[in-house]
Amino acid sequence: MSAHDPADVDEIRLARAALGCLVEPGNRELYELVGEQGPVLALRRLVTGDLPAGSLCSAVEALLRGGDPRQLATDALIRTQRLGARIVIPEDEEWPAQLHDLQRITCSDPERRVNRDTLPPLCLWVRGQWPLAEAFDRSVAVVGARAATSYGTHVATELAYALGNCGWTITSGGGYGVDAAAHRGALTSGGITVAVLACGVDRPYPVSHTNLFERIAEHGLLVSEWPPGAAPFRHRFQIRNRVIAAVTRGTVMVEASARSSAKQILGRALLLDRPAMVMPGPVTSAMSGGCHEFLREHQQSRLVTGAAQVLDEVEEARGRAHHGGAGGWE
Amino acid sequence: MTGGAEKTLERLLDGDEAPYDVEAYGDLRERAERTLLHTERVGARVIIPEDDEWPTRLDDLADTGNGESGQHVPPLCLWVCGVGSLAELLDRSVAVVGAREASTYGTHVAAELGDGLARPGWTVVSGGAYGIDAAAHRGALGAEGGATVAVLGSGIDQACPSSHANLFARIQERGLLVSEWPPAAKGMSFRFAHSRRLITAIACGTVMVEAAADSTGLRTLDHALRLGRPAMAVPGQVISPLSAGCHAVLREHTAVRLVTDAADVVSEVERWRSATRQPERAKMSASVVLP
Repeated sequence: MSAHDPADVDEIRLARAALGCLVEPGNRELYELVGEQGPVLALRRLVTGDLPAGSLCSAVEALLRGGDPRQLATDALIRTQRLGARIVIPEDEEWPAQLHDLQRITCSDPERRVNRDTLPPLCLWVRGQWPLAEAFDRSVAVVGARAATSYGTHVATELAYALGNCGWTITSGGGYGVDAAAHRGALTSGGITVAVLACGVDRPYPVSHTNLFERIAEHGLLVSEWPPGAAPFRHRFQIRNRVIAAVTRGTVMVEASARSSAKQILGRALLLDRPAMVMPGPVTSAMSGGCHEFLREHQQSRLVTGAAQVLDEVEEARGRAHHGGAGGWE
Repeated sequence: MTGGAEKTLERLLDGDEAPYDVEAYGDLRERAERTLLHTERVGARVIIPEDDEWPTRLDDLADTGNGESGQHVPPLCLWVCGVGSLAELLDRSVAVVGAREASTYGTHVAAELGDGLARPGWTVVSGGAYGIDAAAHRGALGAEGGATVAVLGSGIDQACPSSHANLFARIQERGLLVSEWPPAAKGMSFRFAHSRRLITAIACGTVMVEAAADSTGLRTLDHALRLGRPAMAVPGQVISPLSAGCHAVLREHTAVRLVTDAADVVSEVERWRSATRQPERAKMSASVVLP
């Protein structure tokens, strides 16, 4: 992937950034178009309306309102650089190749667009010093309820601390509850932690996690599919979830209510053949209800009680990927 | 068991095969009569496989004869005490078992399960011990019309543990006390362990509520699995040592099902019941159709 002329790569980066600004990530039509024609040509055709898939063009037209996509991308790039952030594209060395596995799980779900638009990101906005591929080589996602109990935050912190101590990167969504506990546990261990956000890397959401995000950017990585300034719309969390499941070796769910979106991340991990692990809790706790339901309904999901068991699962998955070349892992 | 109980007894008494010092037992017939009298006096009865109320499910124990103790065979008779027919009580039954040194979480869950199972008419089977056992019995007794069966590791007239004397008295009013040992037999730890395999064999399925990681209680679920019965475990906090055994068994045996409430348990046990009933029904309808 490094056989590109630097000038070409700059052009590609601009085109991908423009596409990232114009279309919500995961879009199937756009991904196929980029795959066939490359990002530069895809952007041109999208802007000129030269496409059979009319809906995509009209959405882009509404967003651009006659503006220049090149200007849009340049603005985004300048803003990114001013933040000390960078735009990482599949043509870069540090691109996490395992994200390609997302091509496998798209399905035609007429009810829910989010199950159809699960394709790999076109580019990622990143804040932090670590090269992505390196940070995610040994990584585990720790996810769960925002309204976590003291039990859930305790267990998530302990787990992240222990995994961080063993040199594993803790990936989560930067949300309240289990997410924040996992990031904090990892930061305490001195390990790398990555927050995959559903808004721009310059927008701390939730706002009360501003300090946490600063510390994550300093010691780990903030990653987003959306350009700086993008707002954390509700649907974006669902789109974002697929990246958490795909970029890591495995996902652990610590606490989840019956309707938790953490279950969606774990479901994506199962579809991607990554270890989907669940920490049980008291049957009297509604916050463990989603965990137990998932364990009962999905035979392939694994009950885990501590870091050692999680390591067994993800080490094995990593070994499998390295030797068998499963999916996008090299 | 070839030759029936009477012939077997004769052979045992005739010397060559006698595994016991027959002399020391004195006149066996007189001894048996005395035991029966004692049984009547404590308000109990002896039931045998020839009786209608004998739980035929116990026959499955014959198929697990390779157990490490070599003692996995059906009992020859049972002492029972209380109301109702044992077979009827056990037709729809679930064993709820677990640690004696249970946590408040464990006893709460066991009592809720006992109540939730007894309410829709499931008999709650347990061992009458401290902790999970007692909580399950009490939960069932607390439900309106709830029935419960305690399989004891001592003679039926021996309240063991003694602080459960009142509990056992109440169980007799709403169900049965069951023992493989005659009245006056003392509660011994080996008898207690032995009675656990009977619990899994007479109930449709077995739920483990709490168990320490290295607990012998885990063998109970293993036994249920070997009998081909639903084996279930209740999860808990991963930081609780008393849930460690449940989590270990859920991780190691994919056949063990995670359950969180009575509804989960009933669905597991109903599935087993309908799966095991089907062939019988098929056989019956086939014989009706044939001329």
